[in-house]
Amino acid sequence: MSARSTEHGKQVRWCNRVTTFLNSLRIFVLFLLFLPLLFAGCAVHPNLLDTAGRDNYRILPDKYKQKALAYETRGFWREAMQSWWIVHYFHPDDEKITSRINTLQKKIEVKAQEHFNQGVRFYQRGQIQKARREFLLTLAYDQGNEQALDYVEKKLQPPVFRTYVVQDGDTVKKVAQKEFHDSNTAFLLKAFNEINVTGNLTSGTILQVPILNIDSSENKEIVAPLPEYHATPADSPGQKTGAIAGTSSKDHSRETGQATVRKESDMQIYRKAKAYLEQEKYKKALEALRSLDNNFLDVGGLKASTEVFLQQEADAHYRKGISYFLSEELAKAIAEWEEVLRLVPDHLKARKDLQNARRMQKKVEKY
Amino acid sequence: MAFRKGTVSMNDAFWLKLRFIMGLMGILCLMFLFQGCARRGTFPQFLPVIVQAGDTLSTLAQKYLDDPDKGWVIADFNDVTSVAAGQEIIIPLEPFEKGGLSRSGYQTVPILVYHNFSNTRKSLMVVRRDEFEQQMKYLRNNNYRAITLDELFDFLEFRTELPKKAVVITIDDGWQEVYSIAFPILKKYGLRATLFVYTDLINGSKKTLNWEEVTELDRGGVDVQCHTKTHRNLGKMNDKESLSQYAREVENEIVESTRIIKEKLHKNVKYLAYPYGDTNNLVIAFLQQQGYRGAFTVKRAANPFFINPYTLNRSMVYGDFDLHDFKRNLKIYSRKAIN
Repeated sequence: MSARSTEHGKQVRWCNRVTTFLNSLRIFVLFLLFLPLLFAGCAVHPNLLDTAGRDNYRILPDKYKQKALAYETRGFWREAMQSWWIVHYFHPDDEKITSRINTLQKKIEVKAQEHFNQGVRFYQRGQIQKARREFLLTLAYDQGNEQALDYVEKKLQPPVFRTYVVQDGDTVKKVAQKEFHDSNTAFLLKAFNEINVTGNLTSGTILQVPILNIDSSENKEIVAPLPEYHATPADSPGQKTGAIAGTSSKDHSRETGQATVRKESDMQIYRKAKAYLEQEKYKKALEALRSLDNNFLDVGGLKASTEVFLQQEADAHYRKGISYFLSEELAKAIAEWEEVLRLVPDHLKARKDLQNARRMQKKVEKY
Repeated sequence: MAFRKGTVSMNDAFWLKLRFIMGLMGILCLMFLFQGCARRGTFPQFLPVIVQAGDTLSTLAQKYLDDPDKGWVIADFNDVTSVAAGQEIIIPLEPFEKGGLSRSGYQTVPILVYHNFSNTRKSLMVVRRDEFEQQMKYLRNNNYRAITLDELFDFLEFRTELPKKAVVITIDDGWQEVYSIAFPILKKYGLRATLFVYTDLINGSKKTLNWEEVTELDRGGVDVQCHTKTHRNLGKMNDKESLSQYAREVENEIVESTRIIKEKLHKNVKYLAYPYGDTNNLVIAFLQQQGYRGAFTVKRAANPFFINPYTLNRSMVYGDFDLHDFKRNLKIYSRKAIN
């Protein structure tokens, strides 16, 4: 028995030793792991520790002292403090500099706090511009002010979502109906919230609901078409021409012979369209493309991209017209808007503004 | 039992001591670590250096800031455009003016938009080759730095400063001439740019880019980002659409184009240019949900760091601009919001 227990004791002892050793090893390895961190991550650059090098600088210490003083007189305290820190590096034992830095630090804290409090007051009164100014000044003094930054970057930005608190008996569909007047938009709530598949909601849950501010396209009935811009055959909007081409194509296809002829002429039109695109005559290219079937070769793609191009070109002219209009250069504004309608005859905003501008021009001429 | 216990403690005294010492070393190590960090927070944000023969802004930046492209940090802080041997300079090791903000004003970043280029003809959306080259040359010769969108967004998030004369060059859509005309000029002047493609335009037509060219652009300093799938106006609901149809269309435009670019270029898309510059809250909500960091309109103005990142301003460069018109869109400083 006793021999066996000694044997057992030896085993335990060895086990203990091994575990203790392993533990020590583990800690040692940890230490080794931290060692490079100590030097790489947080270590001060070797040059900074090299105090002997400081005496080699003849220009910097005085230059930054002058800078610091200049910043101080202009009230740029953060910048002044940065400069004083550089001076401090060259004169680490100069207590005047240390106390100057400390004084500035306190002044900066006070000033930043003042602006921050003022900012919060403006924010609470809903005066966004004024609040922003105060928070920006807070950050100008104190770059690290997280609270001021939160106001500037988040709280002062127009909200995209509002919250909805789920009530008893609410389902996703019901909330969609309530919020968007359309129960088919339930997927919107699911997109922006973590809602389970069943769509059942627990009362009290807070949902993020996008605040809708969608522009719908202009109501076409409001604007009477201008006589000057009644579509001439060359100018006629796409859908009409497309529709005509579509029907005529069907008519022709009744007779195979004519269909072949038609195909050839499609090819000719297509080639012409490509040539126009080559010459960057987008409007003519589009007219040609619109008379072709979308499935003919790459007509669909070409048409869509040309339409986009013209639309953008027209929008650019439209914007230019607006800026001329705002700077009271009526004739130039009119010329831009006419160009818009030349490119995109059904550009309703341009049509409306052009009408308005012409009326004003007439009045100006009268008086 | 007592005998055994005694033996254990006697024999293990050495091991326990070792363990104690190791533990102590670990704690010391941690203390050092924290002390080091604390010191970093107060002073060592700067490093004085005497420029040696052969040093340039770029080699200094490589040596002290681990990035040869950060030469501008040294240039801007010391208010110099180059360095000479024997010169004493300060190397800032941490951001010294986040967001370009000071008491008297703040930096604004102009973002330029181009659409198409041509050798001969020009219209508002088409800039002629020689004029584009003149504009890029102007940027280069006047020390403007074309930054990437990632750099821009670090600035917008108030993490860093940017070069004082930072500008962003963007091109929309994806026409062939971006590759044949703009790309060589951008490379010639060492200017980085961003191309916003609408994926339906990359359709194999001769007039537009193909995916091989888009990939080459992306690898050659023209960051490719998203301009939706079909270039539909995301901000407007059509007369014939119901709200739910419209919302699904918007979602599809964003999700599909993001997916296609990711599939073709093997990268995550983070920025979107709105077709016609138009947007609304629903569009922004979808962009945020899809992990977009920001998006661009075409409102003619430069951008301070505190602008809404989902309605960034961009200035269109029209084909009829002369150099004077072009320069007017390069506003890099403002006092407006702070005075």
